[in-house]
Amino acid sequence: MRIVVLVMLASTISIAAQIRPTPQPPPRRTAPPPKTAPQPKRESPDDREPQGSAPQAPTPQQPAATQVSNDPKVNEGAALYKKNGCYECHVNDGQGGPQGPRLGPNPIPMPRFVAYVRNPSGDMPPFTAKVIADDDLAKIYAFLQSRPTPPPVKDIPLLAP
Amino acid sequence: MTAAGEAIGPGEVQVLRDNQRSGSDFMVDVLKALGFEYVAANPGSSFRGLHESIINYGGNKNPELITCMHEESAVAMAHGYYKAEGKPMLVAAHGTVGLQHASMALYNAWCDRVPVYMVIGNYNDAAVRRPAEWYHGVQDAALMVRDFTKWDDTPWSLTHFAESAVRAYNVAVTPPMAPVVLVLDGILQEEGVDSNKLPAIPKAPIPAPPQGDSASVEQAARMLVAAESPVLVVDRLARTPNGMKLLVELAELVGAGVVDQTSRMNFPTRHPLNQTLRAAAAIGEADLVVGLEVADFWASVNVLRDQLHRSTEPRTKAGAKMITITTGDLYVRANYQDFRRLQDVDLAIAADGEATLPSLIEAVKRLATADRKRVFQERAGKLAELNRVAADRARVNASFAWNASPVSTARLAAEMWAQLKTEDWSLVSSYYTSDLGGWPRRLWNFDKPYQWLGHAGGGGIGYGAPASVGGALANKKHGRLSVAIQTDGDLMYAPGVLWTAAHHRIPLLSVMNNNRAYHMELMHVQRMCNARNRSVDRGAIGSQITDPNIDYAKLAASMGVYAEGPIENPADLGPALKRAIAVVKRGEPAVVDVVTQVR
Repeated sequence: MRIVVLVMLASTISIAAQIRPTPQPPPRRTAPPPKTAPQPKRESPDDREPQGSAPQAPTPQQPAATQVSNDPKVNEGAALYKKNGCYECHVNDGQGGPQGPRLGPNPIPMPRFVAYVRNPSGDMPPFTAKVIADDDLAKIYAFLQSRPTPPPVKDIPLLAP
Repeated sequence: MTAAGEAIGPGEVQVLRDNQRSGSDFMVDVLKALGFEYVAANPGSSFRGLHESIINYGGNKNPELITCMHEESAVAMAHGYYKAEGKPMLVAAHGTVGLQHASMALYNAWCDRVPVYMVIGNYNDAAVRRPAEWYHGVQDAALMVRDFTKWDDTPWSLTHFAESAVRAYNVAVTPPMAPVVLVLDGILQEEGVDSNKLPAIPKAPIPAPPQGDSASVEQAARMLVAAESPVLVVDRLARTPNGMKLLVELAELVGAGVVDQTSRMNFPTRHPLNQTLRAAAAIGEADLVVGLEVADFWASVNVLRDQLHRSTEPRTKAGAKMITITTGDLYVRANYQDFRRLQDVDLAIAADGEATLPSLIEAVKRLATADRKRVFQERAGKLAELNRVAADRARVNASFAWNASPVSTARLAAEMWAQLKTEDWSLVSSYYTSDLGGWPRRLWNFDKPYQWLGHAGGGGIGYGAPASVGGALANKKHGRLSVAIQTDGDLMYAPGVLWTAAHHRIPLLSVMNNNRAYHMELMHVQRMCNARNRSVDRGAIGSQITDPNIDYAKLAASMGVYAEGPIENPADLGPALKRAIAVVKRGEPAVVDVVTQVR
């Protein structure tokens, strides 16, 4: 029998999830940050301010396919995002979830992004350059930047309070 | 106990005399007296006597047999049924092979402190066993589950059975609650007894639950009244529908935030004092944390960082006081480690949380001065604003990937809510609602005690599907629309429970959260890849449920369940849900398979 042990892979998680006994972790630094780039600000999907307001999403009849883009770098980034398991916490479109914050469409600046991936301060596992090369991280970053901005909440009747 | 069969010649005892009844007829009398509505069972020869008595002598009513395809399903159904109905369901099984199948579900119920009343058959007398009963026979049938049941017994006479059956019921439902097991000897079930010699059925009342002692409750009230930023953390608090009312009264009385860890339906999701969406902040700000029936209080106020070097740190600020009120302090077993780490607290009250709330509320009312009441009111206003901001933020977060395919879990929850909000609904199971970040808890208005039934308790996958059916069975007579968010991996442990739902006309809408992997396990393996600096992409091996994809609509349809899907376009979801709900309202189960994002 398989037993679920809820363990978070993300460095920062939704505040709500933090007090559930099994899911874990608010960030805690055990190693000093790299001197070349600052650690990213601690954020979670629930903490972050809404991003963007211009409705650019597909119509309801046309589901957004995660990897459709005219930019090969974005498509490669989408594949790498999945291959390296980023989606497990940050979810398929980088929108974030209970176990990892939203990453797109406006990710933190690239130097901080790379620094955090290499040496996360919370519960996210570290990805060395041996596992994801810098070039591949750049492609993942491009994929995250390309994520569609959703319509304003006020324009989504299903999300009315 | 009986004499060996060969002592009586063939032909001398073929049928019971008119003035006789079987032992299992009397057992049915006792089970009826205990008020069981249903008995969930996969048939087994070691309880054939009881089986026949239930359907013929008992008229297959109170209890009515529910045909199950697996003993684990039967127990998990009873687990879900209890949490919807507030009383135990009977489960019958073979003493060996049946109990082994049932053991995982019993463990879940035990961890969740839910009473399941289990009877198992066994031919104790080796001299009367048929060949197959040798590998179904066992010396100490309940031994294998004794570490995670509250009590068991093997009655040696009908008088013994009557006492033990009533005792087992009372033991199971007295907090701390847990499953119990009775071993029913095959011959005791089958032998006749003169009708005028049947024993009496004891009328022992169910004991009242333990309340906190008055001095400790007074001290807790003083601490609550004096606190500047108290937070009430609740997990298995609401044992009855009154539990939510009492918690609302206490929270409003002192203007305290509430963090609901959701093992029960403790507190309305949209109550202004609900701080669950900002739980870490609420606990971090608190100068007093009150844990009410919290299964893992240590992890509520501390964090374990799961890196190669494991480390911990407190969630609370320095000097924060802590109180716990829990029956967990009344019941600690040695082997299975569900008692968690020991947390230093300022006051620990070994008592039932819900039973203690009335006296705590009265003490707070007595101690609260006009000045303190003004403080409580101001604090409540601030918490209400924080609650509103957190709810707004949740809706914004839900809008991301709104039109994506596979369907986002936020969209799934929002589409379901659009269909449910005008109904009298009950979310009977959802793994991702157990997780506090789950979308239903963020987007839906849970304000009735039966609208959420908690989770597995022991983390054993395979609980969701059968517990949903059990919860729906309980909800049926109340006319509630039962709905489950059904994960794919969970369903595949024992999908035959869908047939049980169809066969017994149990109305339940199961909406598949079909993400085609055991994602939590996949994450664990990936974490190991990261820690060892090895290829992360191979972490998916062994955890994915693809190639081929499982067609859950066909699976359900093959068992007579209305089904739609797989749905990948979110625009198709609303209409499919409408059609499925129409089926459920006719009194039948329905499955809508939705291919979803990972979480």
